Amino acid sequence: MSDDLILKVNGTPKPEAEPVYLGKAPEGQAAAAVMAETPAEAPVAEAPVAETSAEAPAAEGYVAAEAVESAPEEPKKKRKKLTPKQITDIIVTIVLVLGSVVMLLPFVWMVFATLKPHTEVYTTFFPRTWTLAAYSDMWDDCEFVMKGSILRGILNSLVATVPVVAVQILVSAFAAYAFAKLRFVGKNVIFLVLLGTMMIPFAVVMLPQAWLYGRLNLINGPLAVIIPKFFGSITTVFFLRQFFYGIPDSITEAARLDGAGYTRTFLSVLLPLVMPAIATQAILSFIGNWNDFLGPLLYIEDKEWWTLPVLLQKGLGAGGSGTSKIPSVLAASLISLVPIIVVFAVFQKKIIGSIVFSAVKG
Amino acid sequence: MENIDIEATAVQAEPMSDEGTPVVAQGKKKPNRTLSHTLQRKETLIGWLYISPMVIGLLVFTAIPFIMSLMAMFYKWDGIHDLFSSQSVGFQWFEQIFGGLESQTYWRAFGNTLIFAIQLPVCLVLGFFLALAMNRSMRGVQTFRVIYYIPGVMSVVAISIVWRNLFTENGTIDQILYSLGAEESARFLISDAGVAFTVNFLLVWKGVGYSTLMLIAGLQSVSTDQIEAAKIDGANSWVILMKITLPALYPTIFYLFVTGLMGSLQIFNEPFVLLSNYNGGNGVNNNGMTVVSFVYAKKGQNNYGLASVSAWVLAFFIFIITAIQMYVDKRKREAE
Repeated sequence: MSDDLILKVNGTPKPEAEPVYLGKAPEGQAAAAVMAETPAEAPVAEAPVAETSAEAPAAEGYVAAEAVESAPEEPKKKRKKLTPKQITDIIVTIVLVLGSVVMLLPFVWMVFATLKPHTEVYTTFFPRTWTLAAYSDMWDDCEFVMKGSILRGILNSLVATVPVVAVQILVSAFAAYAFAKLRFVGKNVIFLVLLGTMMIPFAVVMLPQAWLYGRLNLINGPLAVIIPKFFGSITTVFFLRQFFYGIPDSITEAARLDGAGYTRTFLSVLLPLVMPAIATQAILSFIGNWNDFLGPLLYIEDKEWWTLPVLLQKGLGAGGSGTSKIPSVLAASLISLVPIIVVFAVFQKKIIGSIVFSAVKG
Repeated sequence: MENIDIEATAVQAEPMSDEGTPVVAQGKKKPNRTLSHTLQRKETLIGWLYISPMVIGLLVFTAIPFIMSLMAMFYKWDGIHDLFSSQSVGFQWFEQIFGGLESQTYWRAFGNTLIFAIQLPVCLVLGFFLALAMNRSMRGVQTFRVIYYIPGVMSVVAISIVWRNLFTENGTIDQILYSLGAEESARFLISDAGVAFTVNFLLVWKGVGYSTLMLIAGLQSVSTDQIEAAKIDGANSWVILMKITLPALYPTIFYLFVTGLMGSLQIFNEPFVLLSNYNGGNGVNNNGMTVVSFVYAKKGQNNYGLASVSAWVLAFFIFIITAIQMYVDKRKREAE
């Protein structure tokens, strides 16, 4: 039942009869999988969201739930002689499963809330009346700032994200290469100054920037959140620089001896070698820019060009305290999460790896 | 542990073969000075060419606003006209912040910002235990790591909208409390304590996965030999935790704390979206207003001068805190 739902939400309506699901879900496998397993524990889930405090009174039941998660059957067979480690494993798993419920339940609630009439939003967990009204209302009737704003918002978000990712990464890669592999006067000073700018709180520069973008005539379209980002990102440079350091100089020297210029060497020899790192940075940049809220809120004056997060927040504010539009707002929010869910599901290893990398570097 | 497989470590594994560099450089330099000179000039040119976008961006989009924000503190600047054509007002904005017209609101926002930083130690402590749990050789840990990190990558606005609906007056959590016998709404988004709790809760929910992942990476760098040796010497796991694991994690915890505090003091999105329906995102009686929200509100009032002073007071505070942390860290390192 719940699997169906998720598929629908993901925009892949499958015939009810076909028992497909997780394995075949084309997008967001991981997300779909994790979402799907939570409703199985709805009784636990519906209890007040009180993390680890719930001990483990019905250990048996929880062990079953845990089996869905991972450890199949093993503890059960040898129940008579559990080693201390196995006992700890079970307890740890129970606690972690409960925590996972807290982590994922809001998303499950969100999905169900979009499938209910507004009168049920707060009072039930599973919809009593199933309806897709939220998804049809969302497009033109959301008390959002203008008609059809969600579609426009999606396009705006794409416009404010895709070119930024492409250009920002390329520019940063060139700079990272220069900082790592070329010897030139002033290099270290500039790098330190760039790192130093990361210390400047955004609050300090955000209003003068707004004025500056106004002066440069960027605020009447989406350009204010695009153009400045074309000039590279120091975090990306910092990250990529570490990778360029990792490439032995002999490789660049060899390319140079073969007569390749700096740009040739960079584009055809070094860039392919650091491609995994570039991809990681592109993904992180995409997530960051897609989710960005304060930037577009400050710098995009023309509401025609508001990105999804801004539209959602403004729509929420306009919605008042009434609940009638809540399913639509949530449906639109869910739509805004879909690209992130897809990207995260596909690239979670890279994303998590980059954090670990920064941990090691930090 | 083999499950953290990143290209990062793969590339990092054989990095410091830098010995090649000086040798090659010397070989080039000695025989022909003029040639190497030309090469060096070309390399300088190319280097600057490659970093030129960053430098231009730095000058135009960071340096100019930075200097303007410094100067704006002394001007009555509306953010529409040029700064220099505005009237100079001396220390008027400082007076308003420290004891004048705006001081009550500003310091309320400042206090809220500090209250919303409570999430940071909570994230670290909770993340520490989660990291210990997820660093075990046990089935499913990999999945847990992903699950706990999911809230961290999702759109702040979307998840804040979800939590807003869960916590709102007569919302889902209130309904659960009613069914458990509560007489009236818990006023999560209305009362001061409710807002403090809700914002911190959301931040922990969102941020704990990141701390956990970082601390797991830290844990994996703890030397197993040392632990084995301690075990042989009869140390119990508590002693090992306190004497070996925690000290080894110190750099990670320090990093998380310093960067986390910097980020936390600049918080805006979460309270602003959670409280969208209350006083334009600032909460009843500004009980959810942060320093950045205060600055943002001044944009709407076209008072860029006051905004600059408020932002700089925060920035100054951040610098001081960071400097103290660095100093303590340095002292600690020297003591060792």
